[in-house]
Amino acid sequence: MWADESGLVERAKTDPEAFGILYERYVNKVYSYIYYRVGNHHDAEDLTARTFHRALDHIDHYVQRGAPFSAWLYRIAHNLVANWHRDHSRRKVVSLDDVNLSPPLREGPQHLAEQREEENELLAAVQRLPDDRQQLLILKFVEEMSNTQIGTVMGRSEGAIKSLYHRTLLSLREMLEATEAQ
Amino acid sequence: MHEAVIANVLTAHADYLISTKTWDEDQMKRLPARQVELAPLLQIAERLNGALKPVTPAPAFKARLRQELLAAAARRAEKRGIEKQVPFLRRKKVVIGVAAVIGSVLSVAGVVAALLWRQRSMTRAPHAT
Repeated sequence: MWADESGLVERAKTDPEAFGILYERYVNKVYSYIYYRVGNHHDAEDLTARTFHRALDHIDHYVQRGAPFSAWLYRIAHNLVANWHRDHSRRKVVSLDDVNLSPPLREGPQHLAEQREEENELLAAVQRLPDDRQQLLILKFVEEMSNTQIGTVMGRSEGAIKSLYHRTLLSLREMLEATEAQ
Repeated sequence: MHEAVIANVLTAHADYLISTKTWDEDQMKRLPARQVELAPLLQIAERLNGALKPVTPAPAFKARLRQELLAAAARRAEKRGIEKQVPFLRRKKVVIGVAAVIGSVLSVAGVVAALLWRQRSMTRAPHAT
């Protein structure tokens, strides 16, 4: 897949249609990633647009070095999100009304409300995590990447990602226990 | 050592959640001393997998951004085409300039030759009479 893509990326440097194909291939993934990092659709749209415009402006300098094109896009998105957080210096909480929830595991409106509340608490806890841990969880569960792929995007080894994932779950457990205790 | 084993179990479990890979529940049984620590972590991973689902952008936004990007890419390609044409145009101007100079030199030489020829024929004329 990555090897097939290198030809398309080369073409995209001069051919607008080829860039359009890359856009179609990755826009949903980049949007999802940004959405979970900023927590609202308005800023997710703005940052997604800026990610692809920046990619177009710099695609001439893109050199294939074994990593997929998507890793480069995620890095652009990650930098823009980091700037966005610096500018806003606050974190927004994801509204679960906007998130496509999986089908409820339990029947009945009471259980559904409880389930939503639990998910809200969980997402709020995720948004209080440091940037790299949030990035890891989004790449793993939203983008469904393996540890090797996540390592490529984040510039870390597979072992480092495994260890970070473990520490992230431990942090979340502590945060959720603290919330429940209140 | 134990940390690495736990990290491996958590990774295998996450892979099972996000893909069609199978989950060997016996992994837990092989770590009886760590079950108390592992069980809540696996539960959190399952909750994360349920909560963090892909979000799709609005179709109108996607279409508008695509149009904007294609227009920007086309402008870029056009600008490049013009930049490529510039050396050719410059060469063309040089060729025209050289031809103009050669043409001017030839014209002046023609006029000089005509004047010389006339002067020569005038100096010969008295002998003929």
